[in-house]
Amino acid sequence: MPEIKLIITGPPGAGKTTAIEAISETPPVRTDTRTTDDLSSVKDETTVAMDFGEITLESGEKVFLYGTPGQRRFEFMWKILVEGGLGLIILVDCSRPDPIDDLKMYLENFSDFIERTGVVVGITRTSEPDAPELTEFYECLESNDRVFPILDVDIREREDVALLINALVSTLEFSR
Amino acid sequence: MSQYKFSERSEAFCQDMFQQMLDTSDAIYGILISTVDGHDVSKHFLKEMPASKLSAMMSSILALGETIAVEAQQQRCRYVIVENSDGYILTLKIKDKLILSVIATTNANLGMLHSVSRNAAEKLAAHLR
Amino acid sequence: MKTLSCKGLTDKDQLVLRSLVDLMISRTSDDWTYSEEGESDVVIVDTDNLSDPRNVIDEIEARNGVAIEYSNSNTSDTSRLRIQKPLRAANLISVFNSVESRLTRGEIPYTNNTGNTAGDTAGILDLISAGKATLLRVSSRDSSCVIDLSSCRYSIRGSLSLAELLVSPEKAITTLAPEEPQGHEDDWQPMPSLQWLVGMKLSGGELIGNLHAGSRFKLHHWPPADLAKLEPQAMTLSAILSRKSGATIDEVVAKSGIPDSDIIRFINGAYLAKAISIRAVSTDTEDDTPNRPEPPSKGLFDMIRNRLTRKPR
Ligand SMILES: Nc1nc2c(ncn2[C@@H]2O[C@H](COP(=O)(O)OP(=O)(O)O)[C@@H](O)[C@H]2O)c(=O)[nH]1
Ligand SMILES: [Mg+2]
Repeated sequence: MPEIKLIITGPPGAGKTTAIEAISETPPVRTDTRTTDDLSSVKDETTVAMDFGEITLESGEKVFLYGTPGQRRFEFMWKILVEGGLGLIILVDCSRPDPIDDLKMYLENFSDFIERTGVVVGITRTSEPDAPELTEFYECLESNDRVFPILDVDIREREDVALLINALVSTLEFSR
Repeated sequence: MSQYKFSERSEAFCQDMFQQMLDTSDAIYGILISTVDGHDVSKHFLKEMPASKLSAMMSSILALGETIAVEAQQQRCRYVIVENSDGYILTLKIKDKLILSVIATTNANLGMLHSVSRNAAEKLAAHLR
Repeated sequence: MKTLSCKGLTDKDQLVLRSLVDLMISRTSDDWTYSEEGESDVVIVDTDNLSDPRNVIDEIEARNGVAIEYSNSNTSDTSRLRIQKPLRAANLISVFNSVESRLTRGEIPYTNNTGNTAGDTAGILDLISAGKATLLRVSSRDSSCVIDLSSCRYSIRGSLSLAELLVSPEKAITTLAPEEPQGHEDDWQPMPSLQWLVGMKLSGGELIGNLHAGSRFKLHHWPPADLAKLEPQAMTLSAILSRKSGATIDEVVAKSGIPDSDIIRFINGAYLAKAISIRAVSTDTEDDTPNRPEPPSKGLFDMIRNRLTRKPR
């Protein structure tokens, strides 16, 4: 049986670390360090290796959650972290300049993994004045025959993180 | 994009220090200073290597080292060492924002690499104060 | 005014059609115009010239248009309107007049004050889906709600929640004209999944007018997150219906074990939210992706879902 491992990715500040914190039973393992570039105006710290959290099932089996670094220079970590993963959660932050472009970039970069498994997209900070409509995000999926879930979420809420995982699990189970 | 950059004076100081390190041991063939969040700042390579990729990787591995230490209930990660069949890569923090990485062949002895690197990191920290 | 377009007609037939439409205006009760493209009220489909006329017709009907079959043969196994080749004014006029009666059938303002059986509310969904009811008042006992479907918002008074009110056996539904004062304007609550929810809750066990139970449905948007929180089955149903080739209701039942009445509700909701379309055929092969890892057991997925709905420890 494959390892039960889910991966969370997305641009810096989208809420990957926050999501794992919200849902993990154990205090998450974090590798955040000080930001020294442009991002420091938005965030003091950024993940450079991975976040890690876990959820225990009634059987005693564990679901591992891995958060990736967001920046493209950490692409090598993306490849390491998806190894053996069950599915992907992409978070997209509407307060960034071009959230549609962000989504395209992550879909493209993880396309092999997504093709083999499945993906759910969580859109955060949808109340931003310039936030695109959900339908615009759906257009990014058009090249793919499978329609993956795109859900507006508040990633600080456990219930919303659970919803994303639930959508991903349903996709993996029924939408292959 | 605004990035951490050395002043001309600091850059000269570093290049000077890199030269001293190379003079101390001819096993050393790469020295890299990068930020904790993975950008390259200064380097001296005797061989072609991808500095920006290495910078991101050094930042990941050092952060992992520090995190692993905490999980194993050990204190203060000093170095992360990658030991290979034909060389060593040794990485350590310089103050709170920078990382020093030293790449050497197996002709070096690990104790000596430790002390050269530690020395350099301290000097640099003092200079940048 | 009604619009007409065509699919698959030869250039010559198109020319004839246009000139006939111009000629006929005086002899039909409504005004008809020929439109080059877009979603016209009526589409004449040349079933002899198209490779997949079934698919074309399904799509037209799924968006509430009227499809007219145009072919050489004079027999058909459907109740659909048809014209036999070649095009003749008399045939067109007779077909147009029946189209007019079909298109206007739902236009009587909908009021339901009895509302005891499920079937009684079903008609309202047809009105909504035809765009003839965008503002509704639903009331039951002490509660009353104005539902603004075009802006995805509602305003509610009383002790019931919106979902409770929509399924209340004593509810009364009235359609309101958009300009009618509602008296609730101050406390609109936005709800992204309002159309979806209304479609589900007001379903009477039947698919909305133009949908056929045997069709293959394909979801192209998942429901907004707020619906998924209200309706636990939404995730499973969305996943199955968003497969490459979509799924028939029977297939959904077989895959999920969810009763077909719930599936029909969900499809009605998706249809009002414009999130679903009809697919002609299945193009799914068993598994066409190489190197796909063996999926984990069904039990595992259930366990993860269970764990997530439990409160954190
Ligand atoms: N105000 C506001 N803050 C949010 C919202 N969603 C996430 N955040 C914050 O955005 C930050 C996301 O940071 P982090 O989780 O480190 O992002 P990462 O780079 O993806 O790991 C956290 O401080 C969250 O509290 C939101 O909807 N509103
Ligand atoms: Mg992070």
